[in-house]
Amino acid sequence: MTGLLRAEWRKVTTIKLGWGMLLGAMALTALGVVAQIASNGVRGSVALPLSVASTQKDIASSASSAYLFSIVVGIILITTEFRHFTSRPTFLIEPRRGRVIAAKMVIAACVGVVYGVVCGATAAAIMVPWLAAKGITIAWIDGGVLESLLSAIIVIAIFAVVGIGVGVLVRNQVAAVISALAYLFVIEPLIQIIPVVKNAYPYLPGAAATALTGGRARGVTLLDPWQGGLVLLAYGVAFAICGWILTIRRDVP
Amino acid sequence: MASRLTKVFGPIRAVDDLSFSVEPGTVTGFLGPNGAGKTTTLRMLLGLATPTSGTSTINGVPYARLPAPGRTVGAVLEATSFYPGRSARNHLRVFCAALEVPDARADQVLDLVGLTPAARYPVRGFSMGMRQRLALATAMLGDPRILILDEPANGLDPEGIAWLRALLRHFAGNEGRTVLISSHVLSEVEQTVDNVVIIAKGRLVHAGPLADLGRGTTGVIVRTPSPDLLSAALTPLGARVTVLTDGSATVEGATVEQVGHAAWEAHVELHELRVGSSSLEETFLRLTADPDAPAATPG
Repeated sequence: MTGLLRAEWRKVTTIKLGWGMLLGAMALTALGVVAQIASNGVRGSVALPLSVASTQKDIASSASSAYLFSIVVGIILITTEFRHFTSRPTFLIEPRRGRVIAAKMVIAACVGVVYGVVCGATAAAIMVPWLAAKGITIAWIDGGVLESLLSAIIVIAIFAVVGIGVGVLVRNQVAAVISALAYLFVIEPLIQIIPVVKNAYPYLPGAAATALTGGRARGVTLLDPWQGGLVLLAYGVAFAICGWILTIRRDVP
Repeated sequence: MASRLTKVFGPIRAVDDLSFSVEPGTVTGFLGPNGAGKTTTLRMLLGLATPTSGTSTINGVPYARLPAPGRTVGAVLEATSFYPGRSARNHLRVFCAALEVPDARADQVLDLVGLTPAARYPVRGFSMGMRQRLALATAMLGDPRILILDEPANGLDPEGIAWLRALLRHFAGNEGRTVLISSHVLSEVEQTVDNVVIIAKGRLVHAGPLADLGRGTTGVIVRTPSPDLLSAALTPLGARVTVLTDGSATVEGATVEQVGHAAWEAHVELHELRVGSSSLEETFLRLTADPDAPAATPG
């Protein structure tokens, strides 16, 4: 198993795409942090002052937006194998396919943690000096800002695992990335505004992720952070099991 | 190795009740026209595809139950299994890790297939021949006793094919290792293989030593617009005429002179008259010819 883990880790580190996606995730995080701090206090802004802990938490949880990148990285890690047929030598060397998928998910989660830590650090690196310059102290522990950063890391890691599951379900790389992003950007926000159906919204993966990082959603009450965390974990496990079973049952392309 | 293997894709029986075995320590050619089910059979053998029915074993057990499959069997199924942006060495090092062999092995196999100068370059710039070499290097990583190669000569130039032959001969000559090599062209593997397994339309048509294959065709080959007249003229001589799918006919039990004379006497027009050669390629084409389709003349 350690051999498989090392092989999967090498697969990630020997392609350029993973680094590009990490830069993208950092940029998205930075954009979220800068936008929230810069717009704070501007006329018409609805946000509470920067000195309030909940505002600081919102800013810190900008890092969780990197989950958009980690789900795509998860999808790419697995669909690349099918697209370029590296699935063949991979499954020839380890025909117990469940172990290969398990190794891939572990590595995807590790990559997710790396993304999460880097994006969390990016958020902190912008937020700490900027707020200090404004003479505002950050409520790291008692205000839950650190907790927001840590839960962002968990969100990003779980979405990377979900990405592996999506990639196993939809083996076509482009189709898998498009359907995942279409779901997160279009379908879930639509469900959020449709009456009756929106009661289910808090239990959807995107909403659960927002809940875990202590965020809020317009017009809907989200779950408590711990509930959101459990729901998100359940999605991660469900996709992992689906991916595992499908990989074992289907023929290798 | 394979026992009653069947794979059905929708209405198509890609592999139909196929059984054959490969003797350890031999080089076996797995032959058949394109679409005969060679790749599908190899994929089932290697556990990449699940048979609709039937079983296959390697060293007595299904591939997935081999204790160290990657170190027992090396396989190449089309030389396209590379991430284009990854260098040849990194590609091999990924699988060194999975095989749990030292990374130095990557450089050894690169050297073996003559790709050391290209080791650091991404595979996307590789020619088809280089990809075949890298695929072979990947198969050799685990120092396997058995090699299974699907159309390894595809995309190789004549020099590359000669190189491949030498490599396989070296591999097989070494402590009785086993090679199963598929091809749709017999002549490609003719000089390398000991045995052949020939399939057409998913079914076995011939299995045995390569030397047996040539013994099929003897007699006289004629091409005539009126085979019935010729047959009538030859029957008194005790000869038997068989009309083949490509419009030619074989005559057995008569010499080429007897056939010519009989045709002249019976005023039968002949377009071709020659001694039946025992070319392996012709036998191969005859064995795998599709009776429903107009047969192509070997060119």
